[in-house]
Amino acid sequence: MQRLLVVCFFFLALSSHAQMVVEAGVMPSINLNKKLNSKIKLNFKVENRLNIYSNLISPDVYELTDASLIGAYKVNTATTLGLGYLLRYRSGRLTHRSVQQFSIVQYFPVKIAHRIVTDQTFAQNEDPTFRLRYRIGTELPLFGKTLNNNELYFKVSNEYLGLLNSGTVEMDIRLCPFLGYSFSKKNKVEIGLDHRFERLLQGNPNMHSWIAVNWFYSF
Amino acid sequence: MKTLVLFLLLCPALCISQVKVEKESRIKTDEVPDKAIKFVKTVGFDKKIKWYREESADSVSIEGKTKYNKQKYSVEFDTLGTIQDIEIKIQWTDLPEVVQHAVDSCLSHNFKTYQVKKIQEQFSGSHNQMSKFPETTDGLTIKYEIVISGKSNGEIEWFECTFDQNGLWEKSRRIIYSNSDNLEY
Repeated sequence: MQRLLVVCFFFLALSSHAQMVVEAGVMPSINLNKKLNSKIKLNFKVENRLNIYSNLISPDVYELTDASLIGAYKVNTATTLGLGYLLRYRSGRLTHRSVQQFSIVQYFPVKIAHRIVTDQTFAQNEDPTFRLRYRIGTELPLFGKTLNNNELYFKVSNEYLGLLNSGTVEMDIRLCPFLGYSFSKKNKVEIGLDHRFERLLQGNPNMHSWIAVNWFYSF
Repeated sequence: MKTLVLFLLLCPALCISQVKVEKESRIKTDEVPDKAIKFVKTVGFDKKIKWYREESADSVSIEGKTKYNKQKYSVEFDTLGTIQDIEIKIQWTDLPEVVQHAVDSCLSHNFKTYQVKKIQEQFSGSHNQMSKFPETTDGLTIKYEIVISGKSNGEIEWFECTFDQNGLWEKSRRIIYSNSDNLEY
């Protein structure tokens, strides 16, 4: 709790920075998960970003679309290794990203997930960007010890990203509180805020706040 | 060696066709039967008790959860408030050594690999016997409920296995948790 408060105060202090670029929008996503066998599953995700507000310019409403496919190998009930590829369409251009993922989910006493991701982003006429990400997230049922069907839950995640582009090192921090509803063990919908504080090291920080709506479906 | 052979003979191949289906929801104290409230007062729990209604495939029960003497307690009643059992969360090293050996032999025999995730020591008996808990556990039936992640038939899954006070296997149920895709992607 103390840690969460420190993070919140840090973000408040940042948002009062006079030169900060502040943008807000909507970010709907669809996550489809297909279990191929007991060890391997595929995650297909499509996400759009739509701008609503910017304190600098009048942005186009449509910003980008991401489509990604990750193949995940279940090492045990807690640990998963993933390899994937993301394609981003933005301003008529395509960006390519390779993704490597390692995640551990702890079920006792509460469900907590740790995720470490490395990714490499490539686009025409641009230097590649290399990122290292760590995310911790938890899912807490609102009416009981475990999440049952047709129940609400609270999810919060905090992610730290280090990135290297053209010899410059930068850091982003994300904080995402969500309210979710579980229709079944395989079907969940979440709505919440995706706060992103970007470029924190070089003195020109950006703040993005997205209203995110996520649908997760497994089959 | 003889002990190991004995354990393996007494530990049949776990029949795990049953799936643990439980739905629990938080309830207020005024929804708890008076008999159950009286019982927890006689035991002398001094911390707040959180109450839940648990529905399984064949029964409904009321469960109170609290901390007592720095341990996590679950007290289960039927819907009339009659005590069913008391469970205390313990560590592997809290198990008697003979139970550790028996459980390990049984699980190693049935799972290629396994990891113990949670252990609860379960006490059950008549109302009179249970009302003397925790001062005395004389006459109470002791069982161990152990949640593991185990690999059998090439698949790694969650199981809840129940062992008696000697560490002999009684039953096992497969646990299906809500998936964690929304935390991983």
